Amino acid sequence: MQHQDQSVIDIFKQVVAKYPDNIALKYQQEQVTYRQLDQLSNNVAECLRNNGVVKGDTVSIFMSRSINMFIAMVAVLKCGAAFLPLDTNNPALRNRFSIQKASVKLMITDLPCNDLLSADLRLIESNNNSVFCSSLADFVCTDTGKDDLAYVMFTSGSTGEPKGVKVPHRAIVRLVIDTNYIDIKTSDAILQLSSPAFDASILEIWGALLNGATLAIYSGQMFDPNIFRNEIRQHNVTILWLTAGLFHIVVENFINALSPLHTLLAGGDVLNPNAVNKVLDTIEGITVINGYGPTENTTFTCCHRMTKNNRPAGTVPIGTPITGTDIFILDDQLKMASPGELVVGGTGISLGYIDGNRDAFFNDTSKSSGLLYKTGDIVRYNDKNEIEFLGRKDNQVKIRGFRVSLDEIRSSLLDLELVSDAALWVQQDPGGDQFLVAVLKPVKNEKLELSQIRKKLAYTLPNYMIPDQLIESAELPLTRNGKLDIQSILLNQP
Amino acid sequence: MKTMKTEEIKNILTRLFNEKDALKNVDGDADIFDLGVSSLTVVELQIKAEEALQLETTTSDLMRHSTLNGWIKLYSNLSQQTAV
Repeated sequence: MQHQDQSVIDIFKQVVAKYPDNIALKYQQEQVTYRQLDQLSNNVAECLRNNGVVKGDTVSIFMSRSINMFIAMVAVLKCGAAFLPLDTNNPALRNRFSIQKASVKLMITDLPCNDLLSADLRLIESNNNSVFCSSLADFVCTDTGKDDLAYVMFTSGSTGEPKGVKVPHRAIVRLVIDTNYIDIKTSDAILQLSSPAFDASILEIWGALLNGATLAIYSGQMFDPNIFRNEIRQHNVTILWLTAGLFHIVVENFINALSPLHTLLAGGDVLNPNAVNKVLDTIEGITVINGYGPTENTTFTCCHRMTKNNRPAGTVPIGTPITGTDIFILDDQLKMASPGELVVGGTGISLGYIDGNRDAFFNDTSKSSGLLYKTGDIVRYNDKNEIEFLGRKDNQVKIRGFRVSLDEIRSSLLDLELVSDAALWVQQDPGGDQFLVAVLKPVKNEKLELSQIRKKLAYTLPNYMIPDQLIESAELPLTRNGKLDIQSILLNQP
Repeated sequence: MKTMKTEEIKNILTRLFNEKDALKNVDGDADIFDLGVSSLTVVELQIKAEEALQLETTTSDLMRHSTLNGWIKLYSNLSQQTAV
């Protein structure tokens, strides 16, 4: 059977059989071989099954980054269930929303989580739990097909609520096996740095575990340059993903930390070509890959590989479709047009949203046999037939690698007491990274406490969605074209 | 290693803070997160500060002491401990 027709667990079991003594996971001084990961996850899977987890269920994972987190993920898939990774830094309200929307009945955790609990949510605590330390030689995995659900991940929604994307096994396999943008070898080590609730983590985790490579688990609770540099060296990391903002900071200030790498992937926002060239000139033999794609098409849709012999000039394209990806550049009538909106399909396409809302998904058998997804990104072909990103079609932006709906943030701002109106925009800092600015209009004769507002927003929004700059303004002036008059607001600031 | 005086640390950190628009002439006790500084900017400032000071702390400690004076105190204490 071709890899593309198999489930993640089918391929994982083949890797275990072929490379049982390879190191699968490293965390600080601990390491776990593929045989050990298989047997430890068998035991957890047995426990999940005994707790009623069956095919079609979704199990949430609310854990600090540790070896147990990845044992849990493998175990969930062995039961034929899907995992919902939660960001432990997210506000409890947001995580509770995700748990409810995904109809989660069981959660695996190693953290205090009283504010996530409900009467119908069962818990398995991994700390000091012998289930996570014991091996089970054999476990009959639940029969899982390539189109079955593997994970649910939430993205910012234009309706004011996050949307849960349902991603099947075939989409993970398409991302990391037999693909055209990267060749992950058993000798590689990939740093697991991304939040597990962010889809770059799918590349990191399954890029390692489905190729017999090592997943080197970053031990910090947040990005810390000293831990980052030390662990890249300690674990001999060869492949790394960075979001564009972090990529620019590391390259500008800390480039030698990257010296053990042979492949650096970066994206989530526009990459500065000068920064890419600096990496190519500093790190001998390195390949830099610009990775682009919405969560709805599983981490990457297009990639652009750059080496010393293939440098970026002008702009960094998002490149060409990765293996298993159909792309179309279409106008509003869905006719071919360049520039136009990027529409994607193929084996990476997700199963839609958990609430059944089709939104930007549609069918068109003349183009692709499965679902198609309108990305909302305006792109064009350059003279080398590579795709260049031009901007967004809707009111969504990329902040620190996350797709963010300005409507969703505005909705949270308007929920605040004493705020009668609000507007947002994105500004670029001198390094080219984007940050959010919000202007708030108080209710008449009231004064806003901006530092309190920031604290209140942290109850409902993840850190990257909280505006970096908050401005109070008695009015939201408009230009003659009816657009928000940003200049006038900024000029009236003290 | 030579101990760095608090005054030297203060000058270096003040210069680095002044390079950021949001932190120009900042009040030493103002919380930098209230001024719109992101965690990425903290990391950038940390890398620059530690290169200049030849001292290392954790990003989480810097996040907890999120004022210019907090950083000065943190790095001054580190400098004294390093010299012992």
